Amino acid sequence: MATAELKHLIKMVNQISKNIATDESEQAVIDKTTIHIQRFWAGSMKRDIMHYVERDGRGLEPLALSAVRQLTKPRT
Amino acid sequence: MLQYYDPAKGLDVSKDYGTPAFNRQADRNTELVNLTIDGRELAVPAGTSIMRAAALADISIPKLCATDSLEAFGSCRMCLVEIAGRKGFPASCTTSVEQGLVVRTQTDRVAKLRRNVMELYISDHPLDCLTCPANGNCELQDVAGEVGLRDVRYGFDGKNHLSASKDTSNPYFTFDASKCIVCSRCVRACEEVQGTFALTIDGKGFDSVVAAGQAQSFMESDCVSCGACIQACPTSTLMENTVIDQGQPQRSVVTTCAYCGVGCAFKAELKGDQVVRMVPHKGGEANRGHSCVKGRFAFGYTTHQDRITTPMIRETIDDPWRKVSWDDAVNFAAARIKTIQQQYGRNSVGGITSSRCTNEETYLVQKLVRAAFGNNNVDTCARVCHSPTGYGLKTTLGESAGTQTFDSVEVADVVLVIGANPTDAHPVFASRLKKRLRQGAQLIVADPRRIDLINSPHANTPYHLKLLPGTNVAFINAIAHVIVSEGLEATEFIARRCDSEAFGRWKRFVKEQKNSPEAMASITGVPAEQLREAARVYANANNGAIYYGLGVTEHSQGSTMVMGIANLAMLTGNIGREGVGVNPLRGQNNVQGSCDMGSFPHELPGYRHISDDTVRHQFEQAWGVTLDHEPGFRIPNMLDAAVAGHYKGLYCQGEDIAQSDPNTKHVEQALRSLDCLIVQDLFLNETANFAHVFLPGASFLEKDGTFTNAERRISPVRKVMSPLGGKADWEGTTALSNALGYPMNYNHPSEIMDEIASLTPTFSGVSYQRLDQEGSLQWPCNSAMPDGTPTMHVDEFVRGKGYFAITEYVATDEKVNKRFPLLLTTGRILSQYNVGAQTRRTANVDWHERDLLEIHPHDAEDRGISDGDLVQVSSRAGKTVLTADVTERVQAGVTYTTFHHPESGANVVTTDNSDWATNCPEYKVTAVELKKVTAESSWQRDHDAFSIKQRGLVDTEVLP
Repeated sequence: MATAELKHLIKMVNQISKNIATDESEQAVIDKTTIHIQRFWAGSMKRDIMHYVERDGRGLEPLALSAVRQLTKPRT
Repeated sequence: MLQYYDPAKGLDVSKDYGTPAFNRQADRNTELVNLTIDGRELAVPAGTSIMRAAALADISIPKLCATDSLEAFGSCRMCLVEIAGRKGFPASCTTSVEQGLVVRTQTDRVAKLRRNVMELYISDHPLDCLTCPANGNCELQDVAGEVGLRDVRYGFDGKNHLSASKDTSNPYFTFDASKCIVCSRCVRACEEVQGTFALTIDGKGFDSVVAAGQAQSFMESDCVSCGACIQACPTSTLMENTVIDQGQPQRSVVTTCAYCGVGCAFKAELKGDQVVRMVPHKGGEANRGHSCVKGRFAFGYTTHQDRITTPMIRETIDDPWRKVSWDDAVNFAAARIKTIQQQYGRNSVGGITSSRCTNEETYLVQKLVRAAFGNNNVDTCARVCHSPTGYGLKTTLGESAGTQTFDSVEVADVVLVIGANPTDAHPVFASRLKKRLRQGAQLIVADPRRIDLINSPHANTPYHLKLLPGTNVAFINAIAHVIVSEGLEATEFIARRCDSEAFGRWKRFVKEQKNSPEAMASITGVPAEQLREAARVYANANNGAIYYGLGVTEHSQGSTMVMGIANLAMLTGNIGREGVGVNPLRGQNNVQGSCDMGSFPHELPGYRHISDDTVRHQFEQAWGVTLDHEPGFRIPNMLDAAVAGHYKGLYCQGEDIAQSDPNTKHVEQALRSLDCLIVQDLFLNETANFAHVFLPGASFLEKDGTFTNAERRISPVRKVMSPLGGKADWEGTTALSNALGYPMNYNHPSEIMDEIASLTPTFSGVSYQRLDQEGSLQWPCNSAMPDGTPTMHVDEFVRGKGYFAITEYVATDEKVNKRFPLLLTTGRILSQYNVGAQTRRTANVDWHERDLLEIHPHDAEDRGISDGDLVQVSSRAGKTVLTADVTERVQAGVTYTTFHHPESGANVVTTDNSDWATNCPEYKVTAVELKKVTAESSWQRDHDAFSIKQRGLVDTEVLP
């Protein structure tokens, strides 16, 4: 069961992937979503969503899921 | 010697030139006319009045009905002059200069005439100069002295107005009709400067009197209490009550208003360190001598008895507050923060900078978070208002700021206002806009609600596109669709200035049938033909300007909409010159500045990304620390993390997130979860009820600094009194930082600005010395633009080529259904400001003592709700109870309220939906249901009880 915090993260990734690069290829949507998260999210939020995708991932739209899988683990 | 008028030399703002410049724009390059006044040869711009020409040459002509903020009127007959070769005695205010005129301003004949006219005035004017509030600052008194009136031959027993009664209905000023000389300056100021038309001259001849509304009191009339009439009055007829009570001020200090994002310049007029009145500064380039009820009058909060002026601490929020020294307070706070970081990690604490504090103060708070806390968990109020502006404009144009000056509106031909309510939220800009509308500019308003601007007197009929809340992007795409499909785009501009590949892609997208106004009409609710007409009007304008507010940004697609607006401006070539542009109307006084100063968790000052190694290393070197390269938490992320239990400490300067942020219950739960909440504020606000450390804040009158307004204008804030709590806010931050072990040593805010300038390329030319010389500066201000940048993107966009971003309409998750069939949207009202902490502690409550819920008559009838009923508003987030205002201002299906009073609980109802790119909350769209009830909500009851309890935990010496 996802916590409220995690639910928000899931919703945010879905929202980003739905809005960021409409009319472009799926790979472009995935790439841009990844970059957006990379640039704007706190390290712990990235880690949390990555952990979630590793162990579950339900609730994430397919493109959102792929975008999270592309994230590089924060160094700090 | 021929004396040339040189506009570059500038005018003396303390002087009244009698009539305005013929045309401010044209004044710069109009042909000059030569004439002689009192034997002196002058050259002045064509169209100038003789009175102004004389004043430019320091020749003073007596006057009563003339003042340079108003068009010449020619009624007082005091400024008569003689012109060689002409008959009679023309009024110098209404007579324009002509080539070769020879004018004499002082002759025996005009002296006699002026004396006779003055004699008539004085025969019907009380001779109580010594006890009159205007004593020492009265134009009538001065002119009577100048003309040498010695005797009133008519006596004082004739018919007169000396026993006329006073109107004291307005809490801030008194109208004393017995002192009135019927010069009409107040009436004209209300029309020309403010644009409200609340005043008139009633009656004829001797019976002429100034009247408010339909012979109503000032308070009952349409008067908005802007103060323009008082400013214009040459006698004590219209006078501030503070001057009546305290007498004329002795000195003045020019400073910047701490209310909205217009950033008006004011003269704080003082006796000792007491503010007697705030007077709009004629030299202020944002406001050009105008003001509104907030900045002009609502400054009493600064000395209100609710001010907390001593630091306080407590172990838990159920304990009574303990008064302590500043040292004890910051040491207590620092120890707690350190303990939290040891237990929960470096990232378990953060800070919120204030959009009401100065640039220097926000800079220091973000520096404290990054350098002393060692993380990037810093955010600001802009998160909940204009963060999408930052994201959207940076993506499309390359800079996170508006493109124009406020002066620019003077040459706009079509003005598109989207999701903004300028007459209430940015009143001084609204007055300037209304002036332009009266000159013939066309207005297009896109708003779910009928805002007051739509009813501007003497303006062309505006287009009111009544779109449904949440459909902005559908709307803007439809506008763009019309322009592209009808071939109205600025082809040459686009080819020269914009990224052609992106434009090609965007053009294909926007031309799709799904974006046509016909296809979008069912979504937006705007009839296709009306939208097409409006799109054509905007596209065909010589100068088309877009102004927008929080009705654009506070949506799940706020950032998309900002990009849509930028697209539209580029599409029509409306960018890069005066009269056009993309103009975000900023909410709080220093929202622009707090964003500029690196208040966002991913950006260092000057909007540079924290992951940029070169930039970060510069700051690391200057600050002597290693900075985290990962962005930190935004406010909503902080709150989520607090509820989840891994975020435990928050330093909150000058914001009241418990009232202003959405989903109040969630915010309260988060605040209760903190182990250390440090609140620095003027008052024990809603957030402070959950705090462990209270640091007394300083008002804008108690410190030096700068604010940056919506035009990117950096204006000085000047200290006129010592901080009541012992420290200015920047001093409080340095004390906390030093206690945390990160040394901050500044003697004066100017040193902080020097540090900002040394680290921020767009600010490198800014210093207090330059600000003192120039009055204000618009960034970018650096070696490339040493005098600042009034208009941005002139030759090229900051990002190089303008970028057309695809703006697909994606409906919000916040949808109406059977359970929640109406849409609630929120906004502001003229007399109140934001959470109301300041304005509720002034007489402004006389206009708005509580928040009302606007309901369309159909929706009200369906639910059996009448005007004045208590109505429960319920949403997916919560319930609150408000008083009904049944009105057609809102359309059926939409309901509206304001959030100025904490007990209203407007944000108990708003949800945690937010903008996809920035997490800016979707305040403007909440699905709700309404129900008539008889008592307040359970949240309101709990809130009242909690507030009473919290107040009881404060020493009665601290809070009487």
